[in-house]
Amino acid sequence: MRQFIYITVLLFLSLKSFADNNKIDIDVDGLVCEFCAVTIEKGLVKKTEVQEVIVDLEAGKIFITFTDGNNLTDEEITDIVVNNGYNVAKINRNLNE
Amino acid sequence: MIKRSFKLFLILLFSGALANARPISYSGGTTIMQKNGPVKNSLHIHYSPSFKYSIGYKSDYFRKDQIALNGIQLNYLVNRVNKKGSQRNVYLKSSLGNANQSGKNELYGFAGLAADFETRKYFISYENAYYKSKEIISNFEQNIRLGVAPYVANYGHLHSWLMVELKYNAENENNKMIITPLIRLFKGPYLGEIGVSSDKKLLFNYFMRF
Repeated sequence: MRQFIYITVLLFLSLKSFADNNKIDIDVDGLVCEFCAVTIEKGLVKKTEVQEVIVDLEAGKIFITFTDGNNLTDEEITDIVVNNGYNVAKINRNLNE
Repeated sequence: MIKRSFKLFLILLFSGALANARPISYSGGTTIMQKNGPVKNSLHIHYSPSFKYSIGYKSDYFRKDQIALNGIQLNYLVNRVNKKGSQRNVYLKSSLGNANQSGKNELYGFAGLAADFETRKYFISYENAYYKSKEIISNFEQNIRLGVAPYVANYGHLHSWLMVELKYNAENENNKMIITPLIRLFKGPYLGEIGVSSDKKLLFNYFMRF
């Protein structure tokens, strides 16, 4: 019985960790207006790996949810942001840890 | 009367052009910029292959002298500085095309510089424009805008700005300086501005990005 509980807990934690890897947020420099955000959002949603993009202008952050099992590397994300005219200050992964 | 007002509204909406909004879009973006200011009406439609430059069609109509300009315009982002909570830009603009006045046509050239600094609460921009053709036009104008957002809206909400535009044209002897207080509203890819200038003329600008 105890073994079953351990396995269940481990399974739950590993699933949670997998789900956490599906979400990241980015601190973006220069993110001051609606147009700036639209620009980056359009660049990100073109990627098939990206499921959802949420912009928080107040915090200067962009939240990305990836499709199941997919992700983008820091370099790929930085390329998208920079190629749309903005700067990445920080990429935060494992948001819920 | 209502029909006439509606007609006037449509003419204002689709005839003129804009200047002070940013002249370059995101990579692959198309922008329609329209301005009906105290001196001229203009229309600028451009496509941005990258965030560094845009190319498009520009039309200006100077109402007092009845000069119509139609040309190809290239805009280039010279410098951009992104900071946490602010952005500043410097652009160069140029165009070449046909100038028309009373049936007379000739080649004209245009060159201008634009710079802006923006936070979520404050906005300042400077812009100049020099138009030159053999005989029809020789005009240098400068524009400064100051803006403040009465509230700071988040993404997807309606953004409002209270602005004042100072337009200086040394060649306009009767009215060298025109001051226009205006309201800018934008949401998503749509931006509109409305104001009344110190010489009692309507300013109506419309901007759409897709």
